Amino acid sequence: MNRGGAIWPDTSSRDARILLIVWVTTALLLLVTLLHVYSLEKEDRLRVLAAADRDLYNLTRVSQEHSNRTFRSADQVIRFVQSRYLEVGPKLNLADLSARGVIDTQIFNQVGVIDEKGIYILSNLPLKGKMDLSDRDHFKVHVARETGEMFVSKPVLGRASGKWSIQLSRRISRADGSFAGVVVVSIDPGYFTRFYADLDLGSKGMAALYGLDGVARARMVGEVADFGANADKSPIFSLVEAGGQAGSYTQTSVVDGVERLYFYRKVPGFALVVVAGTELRYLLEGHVAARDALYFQALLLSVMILFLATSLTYYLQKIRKEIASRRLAQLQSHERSMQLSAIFSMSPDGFVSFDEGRRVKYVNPSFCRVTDISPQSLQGLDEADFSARLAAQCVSAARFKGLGSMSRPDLAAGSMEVDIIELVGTPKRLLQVGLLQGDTASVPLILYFRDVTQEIEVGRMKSEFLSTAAHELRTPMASIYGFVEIVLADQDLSDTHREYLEIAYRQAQVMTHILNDLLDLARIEERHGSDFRYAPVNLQELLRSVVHALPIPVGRERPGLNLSTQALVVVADEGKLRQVLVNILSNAYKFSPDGGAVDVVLEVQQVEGIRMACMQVSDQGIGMSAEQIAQVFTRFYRADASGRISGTGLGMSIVKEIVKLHDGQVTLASNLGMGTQVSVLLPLAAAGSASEAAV
Amino acid sequence: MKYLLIVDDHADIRRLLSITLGRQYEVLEADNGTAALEVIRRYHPMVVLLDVMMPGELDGLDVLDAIKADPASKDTVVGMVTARGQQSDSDQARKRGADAYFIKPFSPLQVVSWVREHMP
Repeated sequence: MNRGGAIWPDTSSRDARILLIVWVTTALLLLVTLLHVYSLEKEDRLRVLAAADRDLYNLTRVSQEHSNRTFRSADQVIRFVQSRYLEVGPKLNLADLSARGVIDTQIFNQVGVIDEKGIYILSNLPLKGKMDLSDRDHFKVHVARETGEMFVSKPVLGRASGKWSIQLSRRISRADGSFAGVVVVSIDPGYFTRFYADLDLGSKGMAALYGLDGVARARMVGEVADFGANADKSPIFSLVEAGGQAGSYTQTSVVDGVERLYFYRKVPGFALVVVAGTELRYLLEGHVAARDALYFQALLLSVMILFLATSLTYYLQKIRKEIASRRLAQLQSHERSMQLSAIFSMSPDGFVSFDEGRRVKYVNPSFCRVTDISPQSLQGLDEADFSARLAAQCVSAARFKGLGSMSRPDLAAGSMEVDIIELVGTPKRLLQVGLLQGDTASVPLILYFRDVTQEIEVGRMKSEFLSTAAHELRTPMASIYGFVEIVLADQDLSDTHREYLEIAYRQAQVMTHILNDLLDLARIEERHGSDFRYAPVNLQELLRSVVHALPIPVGRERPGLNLSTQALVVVADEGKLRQVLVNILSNAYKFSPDGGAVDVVLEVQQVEGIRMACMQVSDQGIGMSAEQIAQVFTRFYRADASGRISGTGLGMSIVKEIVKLHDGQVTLASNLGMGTQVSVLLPLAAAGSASEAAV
Repeated sequence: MKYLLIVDDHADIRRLLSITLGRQYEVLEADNGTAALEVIRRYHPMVVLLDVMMPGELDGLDVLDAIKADPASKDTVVGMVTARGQQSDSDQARKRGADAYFIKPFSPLQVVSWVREHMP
């Protein structure tokens, strides 16, 4: 059975390969999705940060300009007071200048002059007693020499005002360059932080003005302003030291722990740097939302890819299972057809099957052997060609008439139409041809051939034998019977010789009857009633005629007739039915040697719901025991063992065979010494036949 | 002369019939169909007793047909004497013109009385 394997190669390794491809593709798709999402996210982040960077660049530029202008205008005021002090000395009225608007007190808290000893001698605000400021940085820095620069102090909490202030100071040098004092302008660092509050930096933004000494002049972190904080840990200072004029960086604040993007810018002409920062989270808010949406879409996509791959795997497995089961079914059907073809090839009967196109599909070896037709010459022939090919092998008297004449549309599937053909050549060969209408579309027709030569020959020989035997036995019997009869006619015969010859004559008669009955029985059995001439028979008329013609023993009455007045008609062979009645009636007389009436009754009986004609013959004779009744239809059985009553022992057998072929029944009722009743039941003809017979 | 012809291939049967009939009639015999027709042509028997199954070219029924076909002999009375006992056989013979049908074994006395009816 290796053929099975060859026809159906194993595909499981191929299936595994397909699955591998599916899952590798899935993994690649997921990876590509991931990378794409990552790059999109990164790109967006960079775009957002670049935009923020630009914003901060602009804001620090504004902040720088604001600081620069503020300090420059402070420097102008300082320079003005410086020159006026050199002209007029301590008589300079700063309050007057302030009142006249020369000094802008909105920005500058206080403008004053400290003399060379460090005493605060002039102010636009009223002075409360002598105030020594010689220990202050903004004084000390100018004592030794002219720096040429305005000094910007760290924010200090004013001793007098109790307010935060930044001191801006310049040295007053006399014409000879000697130290004459210092002009001081106090500025409110809140002026800067209020400005920062107006900048849009987000809720957790920051802005600051740092001195390059690492101390914050003003700083706004979120909502909180502070002054004078040490900020030397900020990377700005190292960046500026490295030569940076402006730039950005990202850092987590040491003040409030918020991560920000910072931009710094040095204030030109001053040892100051402005910085602005925006919370990264605030900056990236839109980006994060977009990123989350992107992640969600990527997740959906991934789930879909995984779902597709899983479904694909599932269906592949399912298809694989289906293919496997279909393959199994095909294998089974293949095996079954192998089995069938093995059976067909071994069958002694011939088979030819036709496909749906009514062409020869299969021819078994027996057919070819019997008909002497090679299978190759039949393959693919259509109905007509096949019929012609087979007909050519037949004798003209019993030719194959063709499929067309055999197949009929009204023939039910599975039923068979049978024909007999005779093949050419010797010895004589007869084939029974059967046509089987298949019930499947793939095998619509099967022709079946059986060699029936022997069966038919045996049947023919049997009837030939019977006919020969009849001739050969009857002729010698004719001599015996005839010559004995002639001798018996001689008047000169002695009584003893006459007695002997009469015995011989009687026995010759018996033998003739046996011969006749045997031949009758054999003929009926051989023909199965096929030579019966069926016609409607009126039973009343038949009975009257039979009773009238019946040879009646000397001294006996004719049978009494009690016939139904209704015309009873059966379909029967009248001659055979006459034989039945004669046999029964002659038995009635034979088995009532002591006389008594013989009666015939005709009536209708219902047998299992069917109306049947019942002919009943009764006698008053010796009757039969139950054992005898059981034997009555046995051939050559004779109820009379004494030999006084002549007979062949075949009469009732003939009755039974004939009645059986008419679909009827014979029943017998009897008791020893009480007579016998024989009933013959025959199915009544249909109304149509009855009226036909009545015409 | 009134002739009676007995046709049968069995000599015993011819003898059986001739000894019963020979006392009253001039009996001719033939043992096959061809010979029977020759005798009939020459002697014009009044009655022919004819066997059916005989060897030779013509069987009894062929001879019967020939007798009935020839105007010279068509009035000849023919009785069939045969081993064929079927009703259908006797029906066929009567249809083809036979006047009587005796089935073997037959009663010679019956045959004599039948012949006497046709040959007074």
